[in-house]
Amino acid sequence: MKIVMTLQVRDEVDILEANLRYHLAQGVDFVIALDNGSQDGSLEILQRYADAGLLHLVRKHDADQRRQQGTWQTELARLALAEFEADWVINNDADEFWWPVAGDFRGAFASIPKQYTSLAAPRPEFLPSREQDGDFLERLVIREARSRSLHKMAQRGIPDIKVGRGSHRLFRESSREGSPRRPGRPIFRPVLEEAYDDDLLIPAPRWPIRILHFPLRSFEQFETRVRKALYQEGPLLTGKRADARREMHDAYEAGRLPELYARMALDDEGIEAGLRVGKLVRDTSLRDFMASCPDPLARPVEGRRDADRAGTASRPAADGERELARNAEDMMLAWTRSEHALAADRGNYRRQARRARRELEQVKRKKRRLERKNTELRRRLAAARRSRPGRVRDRAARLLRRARG
Amino acid sequence: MTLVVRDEGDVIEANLRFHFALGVSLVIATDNGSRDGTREVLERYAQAGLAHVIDEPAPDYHRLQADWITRMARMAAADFGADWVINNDADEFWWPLSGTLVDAFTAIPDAYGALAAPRPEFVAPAPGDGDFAERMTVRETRSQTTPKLAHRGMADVDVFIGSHRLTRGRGGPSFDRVSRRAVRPVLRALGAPAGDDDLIVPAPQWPVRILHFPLRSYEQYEARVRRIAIEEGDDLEGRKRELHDDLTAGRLPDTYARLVGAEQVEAGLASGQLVSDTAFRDYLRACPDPLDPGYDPGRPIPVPADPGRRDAEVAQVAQDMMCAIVRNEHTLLGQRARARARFRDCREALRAERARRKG
Repeated sequence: MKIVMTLQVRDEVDILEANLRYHLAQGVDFVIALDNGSQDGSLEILQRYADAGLLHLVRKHDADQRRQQGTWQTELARLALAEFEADWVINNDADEFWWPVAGDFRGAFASIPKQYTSLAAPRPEFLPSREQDGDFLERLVIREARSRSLHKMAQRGIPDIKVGRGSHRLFRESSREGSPRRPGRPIFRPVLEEAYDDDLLIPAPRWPIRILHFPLRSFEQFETRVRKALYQEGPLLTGKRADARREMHDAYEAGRLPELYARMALDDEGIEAGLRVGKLVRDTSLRDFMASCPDPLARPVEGRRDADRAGTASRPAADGERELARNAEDMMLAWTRSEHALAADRGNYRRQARRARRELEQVKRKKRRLERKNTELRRRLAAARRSRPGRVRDRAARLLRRARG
Repeated sequence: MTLVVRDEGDVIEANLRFHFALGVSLVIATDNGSRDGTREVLERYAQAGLAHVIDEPAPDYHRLQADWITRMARMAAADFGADWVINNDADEFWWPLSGTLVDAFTAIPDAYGALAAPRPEFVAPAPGDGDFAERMTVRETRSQTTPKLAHRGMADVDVFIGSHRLTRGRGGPSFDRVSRRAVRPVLRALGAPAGDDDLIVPAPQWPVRILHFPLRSYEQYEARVRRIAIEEGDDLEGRKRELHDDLTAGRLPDTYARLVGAEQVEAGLASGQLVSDTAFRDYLRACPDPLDPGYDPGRPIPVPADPGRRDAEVAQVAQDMMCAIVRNEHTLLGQRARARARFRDCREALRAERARRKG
């Protein structure tokens, strides 16, 4: 079984090396990394791993990474199969660490029954810290107890895979994306339907991985990200998210970012309160693992792996069971939330479309009314010209012109 | 268990008998002007203290259905102390993969508020007489329609159309207005994302399969086609229009015959797309009548155990459910994309129209 991790990197120097070390130690066999014009030393790190034969480097440049994300993820995922024979592809980001909550990392992928093509993992976030100096691993040890953002997917090597932006959802090139998939009420079906779900990529009902997500790690990094989000990424956002962006823009211009950062980072009191009610948990698992994580560049590739994979296998089984149950809760909530969110969006667009169409009809009606009025006026004008007094006047005018000429 | 019924004479009694045998303790039914004896069956159960019946003769069944179901689901919790509520239809039978429905619900961990169940359909029977359960013994192997949800008793539950989605405390169903997309971390400093307290989350275990018998005889099929025209007026499109034309031209029996071709059933069974399922029929034959004087309501009757098939069945239902989650997401994505495109087209046209006027 070969596990390939794909990464999209842009200026992630404070976390990139930890990410590569971690996943290679856990049992990722190979990394495909796309560097999007890094200037902070990230590219050099990637180059070192490439030189050691552990990573394939793809270089691109687009200031608006968000716009390219899905396309690039798809490209890398296909490359993982076509060039590197991946059995599993992890669509990853530099700030995300795939943590096996029970058993070991490779076992998590090996345990997926063959009728399932993907593995979904919830993705709780760590709080940024007020403390600014030092390695993020030492500073960021408090996370949400439950994942609130969308999960992510890893999938088997699939030739015509299409990774949705953010790799929350997977498609095939042949997917009838957008076509209604429900067969509709039985009474409307002409004959027994063909099986029509063969093109769907189905995640397993087992969730042995939790993605530890460190999106915000220091004020400096927060500020850089805000600047990129505000000034380099196109206006993909609509509705509520556009409002949030505008609000962020105002905050940035007014110099209020430090205040916002501090609010997210929480003070000790806020953290204690969060821990007490169970909204937050202290999670040092990654920090502890990394303390004894070998450097994949320090030793020859051969014979490296088995010795390094001990890290997570030695935990008590009861912990594993409890964490598996939490992951299951997170995933069921994520899907429920996603369903309601999509239905809400659909409803909003339908309402807006209806309103716009009504308005359009009104404008058109008004236009037709004006046109009719216009035609009527023209007709009357022409009629007036054809009438006798009109003709007399016209002829008089012609005679007059001729007489003058 | 709640039911909305209208003229379900050929299944209603079997449905009540079946679910009482598996552990349902009370039925709340909304009758939408039945004329075929359905109302009388319900009345007998009401007399015996097993049913609470609400009459809603209004003709706009489809529009009001979600409100009626929500009202009954809330009533079940508030007035009758229900621990679990199944929002059911007369042609759907909640079949536990083992044990009783009580066992299935009891096994759901406290962290979850709902139980989701896939809903494979039985193939319509060839024209003829007799009880539907005796004549319908072949079904889809895998469920292709949207699953349904049963939920814990909650006095503020909102049941969305079709019982596929649930929330609580929103003051009524069919309000899909809350946007709950988590904002990207980089923008999140602006405020906490919307809470999820109003979501009712189904458990990641699926001990029940809903056996669905939507088409049971030619007569019932014809009645349903007739009803479409009554409910939706003359403004029919697509398949509805075709069926209606078939009906007026007298072709509907042929259409029905094509639904149930024996060759097709053979082919489906051979390919594994269909499966023979007689367990339901056999269970129903042995079901006691809850209206019998000697009936013991405290003793639900488990479905016959077949340990050899149990694991395979559990795995199959789990796969159905995972497939349904993905299919549903894709469907919603597609519908959202179409609605957005429609909105943008209209907006563009509007802008163009206004620009032209100004120019």
